[in-house]
Amino acid sequence: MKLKRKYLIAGVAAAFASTAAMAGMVQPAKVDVDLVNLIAGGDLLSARYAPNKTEFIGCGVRKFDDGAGGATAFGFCQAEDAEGDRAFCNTDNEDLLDAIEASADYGYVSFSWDKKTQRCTRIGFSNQSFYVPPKVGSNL
Amino acid sequence: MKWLLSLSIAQTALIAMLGLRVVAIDLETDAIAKNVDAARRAAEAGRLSSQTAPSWENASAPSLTAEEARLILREELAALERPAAQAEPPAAPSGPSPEETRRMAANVAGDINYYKGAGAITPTEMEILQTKIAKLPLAERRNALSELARAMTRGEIDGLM
Repeated sequence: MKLKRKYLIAGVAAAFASTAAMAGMVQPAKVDVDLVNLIAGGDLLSARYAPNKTEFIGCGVRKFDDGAGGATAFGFCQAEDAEGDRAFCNTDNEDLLDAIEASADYGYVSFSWDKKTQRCTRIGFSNQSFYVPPKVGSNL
Repeated sequence: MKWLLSLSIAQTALIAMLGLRVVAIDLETDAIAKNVDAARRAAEAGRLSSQTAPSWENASAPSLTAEEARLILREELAALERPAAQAEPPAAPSGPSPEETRRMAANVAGDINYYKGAGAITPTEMEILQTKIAKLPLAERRNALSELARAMTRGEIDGLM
């Protein structure tokens, strides 16, 4: 009886192990803020589940009614890495705002900025399977 | 024989009378024809003159009350004013005056300095500050956002955008 139970547990463990092994490529990118080269990057999932209370990264857009039928809009990106280095930039460039609004739930975020003006000079998003968490929307 | 002679004289006299009557009728006909022709020409002249004259010369003037006259004047004045109003371009939304812009920019700069002194900004405070910044003209807005981002990057203000 004990032997049967051992086989059963081993079988279940093997099944889970093989599932994990076939989960596809993963490439976590922890947040890194480079204050020398003025580049910040990292994937949202790694930042969210980082083993510390500091890491984060992301971009956003704020729009305000301008009272004349239009809107005043600006966007921003912000990040802080595990070492506590942080970066903030802002933009009103429409193309960069479009880039921010095209971001997905999971993905790699990267941005650069001008040190003098703190304006964003580059905003990048990369939506890749290896950034998606293994248990979300699984079809396996 | 006498009877035949007197009959012949009577016949001749009758023919003469008939001849005179025919001449008289002919003269009357000519006179009537002349009158008809003159009347036709007069009517034709009147028709032509009525066609070339402005309508208001022939129109009979309506009798207007004072209220009706005022109403017509008002309508005419409104019609005159309408094209002028339509020709004017829509008023552009006027931005804040230079003095107002300076005041708003100084207010935002004061807020950023306040949060630098406090060392932190809460999410609600950030929303309020961003709303103030959004009301600034573009150049001042960029300056304020740059100053805010610089202070946050340096760690002078702890918080999130």
